[in-house]
Amino acid sequence: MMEKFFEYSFSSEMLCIGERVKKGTFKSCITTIPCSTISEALNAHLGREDIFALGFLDDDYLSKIDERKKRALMTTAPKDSALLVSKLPLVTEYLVEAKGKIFIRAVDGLEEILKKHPKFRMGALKSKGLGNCQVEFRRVLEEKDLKPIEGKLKTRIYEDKTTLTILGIKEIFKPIYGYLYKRTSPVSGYYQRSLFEGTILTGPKFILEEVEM
Amino acid sequence: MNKLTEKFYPREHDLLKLYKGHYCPDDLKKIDRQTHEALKQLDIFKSLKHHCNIHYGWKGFPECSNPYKGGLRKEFILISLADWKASAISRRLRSVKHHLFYKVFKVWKDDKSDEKLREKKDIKEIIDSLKKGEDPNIVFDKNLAHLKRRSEDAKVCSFASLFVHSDLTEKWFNFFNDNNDYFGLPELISSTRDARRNIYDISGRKGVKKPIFFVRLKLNVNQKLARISDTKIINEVKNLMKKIPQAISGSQELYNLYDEILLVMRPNKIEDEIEEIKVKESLEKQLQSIDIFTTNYYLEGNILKTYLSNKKFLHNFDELFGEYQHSFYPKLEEKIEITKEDLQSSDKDYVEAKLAMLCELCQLASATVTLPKKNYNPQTGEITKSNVSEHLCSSCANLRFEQEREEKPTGVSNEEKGGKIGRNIARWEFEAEEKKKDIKLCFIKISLNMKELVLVLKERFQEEFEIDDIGDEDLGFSIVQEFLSDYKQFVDEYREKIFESYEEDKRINILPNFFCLKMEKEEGNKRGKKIKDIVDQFITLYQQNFPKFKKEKSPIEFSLTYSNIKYPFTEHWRYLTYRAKHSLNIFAVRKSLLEIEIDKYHKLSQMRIDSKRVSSFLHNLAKIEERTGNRLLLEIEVIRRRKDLGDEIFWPFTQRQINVSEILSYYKIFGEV
Repeated sequence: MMEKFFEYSFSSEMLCIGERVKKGTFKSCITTIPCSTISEALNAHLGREDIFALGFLDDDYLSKIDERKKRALMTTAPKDSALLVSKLPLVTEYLVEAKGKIFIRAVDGLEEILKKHPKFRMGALKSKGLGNCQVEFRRVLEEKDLKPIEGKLKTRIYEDKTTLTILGIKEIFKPIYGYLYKRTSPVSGYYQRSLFEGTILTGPKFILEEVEM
Repeated sequence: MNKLTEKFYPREHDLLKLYKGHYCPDDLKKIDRQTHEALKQLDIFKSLKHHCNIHYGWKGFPECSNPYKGGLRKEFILISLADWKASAISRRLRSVKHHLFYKVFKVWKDDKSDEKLREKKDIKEIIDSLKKGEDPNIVFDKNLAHLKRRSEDAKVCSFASLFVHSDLTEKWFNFFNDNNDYFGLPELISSTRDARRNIYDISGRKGVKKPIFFVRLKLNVNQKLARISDTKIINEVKNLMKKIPQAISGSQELYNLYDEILLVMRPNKIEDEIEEIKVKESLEKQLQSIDIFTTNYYLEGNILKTYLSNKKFLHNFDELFGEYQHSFYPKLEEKIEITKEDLQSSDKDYVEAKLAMLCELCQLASATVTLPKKNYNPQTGEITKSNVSEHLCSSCANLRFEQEREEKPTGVSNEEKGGKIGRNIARWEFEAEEKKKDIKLCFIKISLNMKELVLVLKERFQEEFEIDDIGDEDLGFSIVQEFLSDYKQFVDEYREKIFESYEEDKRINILPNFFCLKMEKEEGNKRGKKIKDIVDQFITLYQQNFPKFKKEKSPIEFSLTYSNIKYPFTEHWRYLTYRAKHSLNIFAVRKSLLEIEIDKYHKLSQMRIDSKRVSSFLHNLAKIEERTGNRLLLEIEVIRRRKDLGDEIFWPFTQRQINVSEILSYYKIFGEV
């Protein structure tokens, strides 16, 4: 039986969910909300360890992201703390006025606490003012949203038994692979092979874009 | 003639089509006895008699000599079968009730009223060359122009050239011959009846089904390239494409297109691998054995099971050219983590890399190598280490070592090796910084949307020949192959045309369809105009080569990105690899985006933005957009000013053929410096 999920609208004035730093000078921003990032952010915000969430940005926002100049760059110069000398400048790409949806697996007390504290921090360069996010409860997902269909994944999820079971994913036809970080303790973790956006699989409708197979 | 030393000429099997006697070379006895006597002595004669293998003994061919005396080697039957398969595909579309063409008819450029298409030409000199004993391979290669002109079937269906048909026949022959353990022809065939039975067995007689698979694969670069010198990864694409058919046992390439390949293959184990999923697993293992198929790449693909019988063959062609259903990766670990043993290693660089865990370049493998970033100084030629390190997997580290080797100054022109990328970019960046030069980079990429191509070709056939019911399978590989040949020529022609205006040190050829230009600020020659010239040249050449394609929709996609040299390359790369929704896709990085079809571009070009009044107005309009972002305000401003600016300039807008965003994007890209 499928787990219960809540749908929240999501917004952030300046958001950077970054990819790994390339050669120490440029950090690009992805255009979806991986389960690792949002789950970690909500766990930290709510002081829990059992939040499972995932999300993606609105199609309308994504389709006009360049036309409407919703990608911006910030240059920072991290200092070497011992020498007090700037290292190479780091250019970080971030999204402006990001809008999307978040889906959170239901746990006790979640609705009430997020209603009281809908704002949280997520992503990179929080010290520079990026990553302020806000969510607003929309609805409990219905059976039709959880119905398995064949489609393209709109977010990023771990390719492990736990995640696939939670989401009721049965078959993966065309994986698009990547790795997401999984924390095992406050100071350690590992990279888990994951399914990235564009993967074609059979899964719940709410995380997929329907395609004809 | 000793059967063991007999030679086979699948590619040259139809050379008599350029003269006479193609259907039965023994008919030349009546037409040209001397030629017949001469050809009979040659190795190629048996290959020319490929139809006789099937029709010997029929009443309609009284002159036909027995090809089965002493037994006929199976390879000659395979030439007959290969010829049959290659032409069965291209002969589905019949033009006989409309028009007959001797010259190959190309729906993307030819006009059926053109009488030159019907001019028959006998090329006797080809036969004379053969008679003199010239190697048939050389005779074929010397006469490509004739072979490309002549249609494969002038009587009934003239949409593929003799050259394309010959090339496909050779490929099918190689496929059948290399896989005879699967197809099971005996070494010697004794009679026409024997030949027919064997051919029907291969084709799938009732109860005896031998499936084959078509596999279409597209190679993608996995990562988001950050440095322009990372384009070495793109350079490797052509090497990888060559290795793919070699790695897949029992396969034969039918066509390749820079980063895409179509293969035919047989299953390796008939009991286990007659289903697509098993074929996919087997394919993945074979692809993973290719040494340069590293975590920098992945493949998308379609796998189609079919049979060689006429009814079933290509019945599901549309699936082959539809959305990709599968992906293929090199071996990927389930988890990438650091262990206690890793931490105990005495190699500090190794430990540092393992702590980083994930390779920074491909992001799909464990980091095991720490490399200091190296900077190439184009002024001194020195390579120095910086304080920044990269943590890479072994494949990506090897890539860096190769890049460093290529970035070292040498006296050899690197254009062929593709090694100029790093050095040129470093030099241009140095120029921009040290000499305070305003340098911009322009990337141009041309790609072909195969799915759109099939649709457009079908539409053209329907329009030109009033054929109502055309399936994707009616196009087959011959017509597609014919188009691909013209497309490649078009891409080469365009690239060379652009390169005429840019010296060798102002351009980088990354792939045949992907190159980079350096643009400096010049007095009296705005860069907006230079960009427009590049686009205009593409359109001119496109319309010359494909005049029958509609301007509203084209399967050929032109993408151009343009920015200051300081901007991260990853912004160019992201656009070039993930967009191309229209025929023209122009992205001035962080400035403006214009994605339109050719007909709209022509309408926008009428605006005369070089005129001071129009230019000044559009400049103000851009300011209004920046301040308000309100499209309605912009539209009102255009309507208000159109009378004093000239109605003829803005009529496409008032007729709702273009919108104000397109006007502004056009101006920002082509109008400003």
